[in-house]
Amino acid sequence: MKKLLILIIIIFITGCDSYIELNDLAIINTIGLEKENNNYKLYASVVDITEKESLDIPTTSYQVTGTSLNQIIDNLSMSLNKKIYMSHLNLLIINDSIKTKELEEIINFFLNNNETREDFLVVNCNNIKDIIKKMKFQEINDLIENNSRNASETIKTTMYDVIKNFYDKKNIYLPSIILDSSISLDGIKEFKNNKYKEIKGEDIIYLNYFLNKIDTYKYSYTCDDNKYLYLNILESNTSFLTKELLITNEIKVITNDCNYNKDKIENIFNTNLKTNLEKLTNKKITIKNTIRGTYEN
Amino acid sequence: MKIKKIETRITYFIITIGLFLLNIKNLTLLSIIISNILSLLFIFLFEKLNLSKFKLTKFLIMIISFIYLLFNLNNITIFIGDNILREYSIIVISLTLLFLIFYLANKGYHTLIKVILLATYFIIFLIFISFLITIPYIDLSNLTINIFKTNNLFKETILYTFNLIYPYLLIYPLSNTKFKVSDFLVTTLFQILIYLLIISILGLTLESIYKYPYITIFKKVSLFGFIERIEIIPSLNYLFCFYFLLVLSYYQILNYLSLYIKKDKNLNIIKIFLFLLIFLVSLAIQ
Repeated sequence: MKKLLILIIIIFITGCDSYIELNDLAIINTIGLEKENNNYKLYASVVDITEKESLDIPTTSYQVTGTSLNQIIDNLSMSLNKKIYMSHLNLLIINDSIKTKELEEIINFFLNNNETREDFLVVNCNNIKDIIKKMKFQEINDLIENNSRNASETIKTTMYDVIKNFYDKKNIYLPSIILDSSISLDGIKEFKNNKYKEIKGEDIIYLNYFLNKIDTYKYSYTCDDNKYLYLNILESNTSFLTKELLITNEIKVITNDCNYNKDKIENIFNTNLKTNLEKLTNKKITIKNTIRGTYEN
Repeated sequence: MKIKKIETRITYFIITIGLFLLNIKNLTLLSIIISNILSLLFIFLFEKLNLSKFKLTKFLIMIISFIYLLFNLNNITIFIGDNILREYSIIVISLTLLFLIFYLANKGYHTLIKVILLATYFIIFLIFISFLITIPYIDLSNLTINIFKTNNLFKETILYTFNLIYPYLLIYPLSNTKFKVSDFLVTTLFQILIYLLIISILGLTLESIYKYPYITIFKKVSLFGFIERIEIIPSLNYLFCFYFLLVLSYYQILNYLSLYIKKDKNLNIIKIFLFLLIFLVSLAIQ
């Protein structure tokens, strides 16, 4: 009886039943989504496993249309005759046609899909078709990663951030990209009240301060003809724990042609930061800086 | 062989944490604290009045165990289907699980407790590891909002109090060990710590959206930039806790039945009947 029981268990716990060949999987690494006449258009970059000799990851782009996201994925699976595998999804590109209703559907799709993780980047681009065809996800991800790390001129937004901000009813900020001869950043898009608004230039840095997403960036101030004060903000932290907004910066002085002392440098930097941040919040702002470098000539 | 006090306490800890992980989605800090106080009061009353000696109490515990076994078998089957064996059908999962539950429960209480003790070291190790690797993902701004905020405190508290009383009823009357408040406080502390860890990483809103918030926090973890997809760590945690909960529930039923059915042959027929009944009812619930 015991042996029979063990035999039955062994039959059931074998792992071969669910085995799927790699050739039968459509591994998607980038998805582009737009809505047109109540229909979704999905552009997918699928890893091409037939090309074995290339060092790069070869991909083929596909386009499918449908009324709902689940239907599109099913359509894609049918047209490729493969099981859709989204564990390696690295990038989601949406355009301005994706509004609150569509965003909710996208979020629900990913929340119900246990295969995917929500750590892939979400970007805004109005030329999805070309981007998916011509660019690799790695180039776009690197562009955003490097820019947010070294210049703080964009906001690295993952699907997780989108879900969190959507349900917390906060603004969603997406890096905006354009494709000319090469790919480049075009500020960020703020999604608020079912509308997209462009934010460009230095405003992004101050928004990053407000969102506590500043990594490093450079600040320059012209004091006289051809004389500059050039600062490197190495580290920054914005604390929301108290009633006031407490910002701490670690600053390194790179160029001090103006021969300003430490207090003067701090005053110039703080005044500029405070003026710009006051546009974003009504809270009292306190800035604490640690300045090091060649400020005393 | 006599069961040691520490083994009973550890079993209590594991089952409580298991039920906590099962209910975490519907809990708030306030409901956790109130439920713990209420369940402690109940346990005190139960011990003071020595209710475990009454036949009616034993019958009620058996009925509660049966209900818990049915509903939680359904929960754990869905959990395995969602997180571990995605390609398998629910029938295969629940059937295999039932075989494993019946196998361990039939081995007797002593073997069962020893297996739980072994698994506990592993589970506690996993909990500590989970705390260590998720620390970098803690966002303290998630704790600045009102973490006591609740939608339906009454419902949350009543349901969770029931869940906290159940491990006591399941374990202590069987093992003749005196209940200690310190055991209770340790489990309460662990519940609060795990809850705060999840809230500080996900925030209140997302905690209530995700089906398994404790697993979701691990989806964010990336160790040394290349070790990812370590969700299996908390999944194992869930799996062990749920499995022992089901085994103990089934054992309670068997234990009650063996008081009245003395013949082995009859008891075996009842076991087969129970197996089929639980399997079919759990399928019907799905």
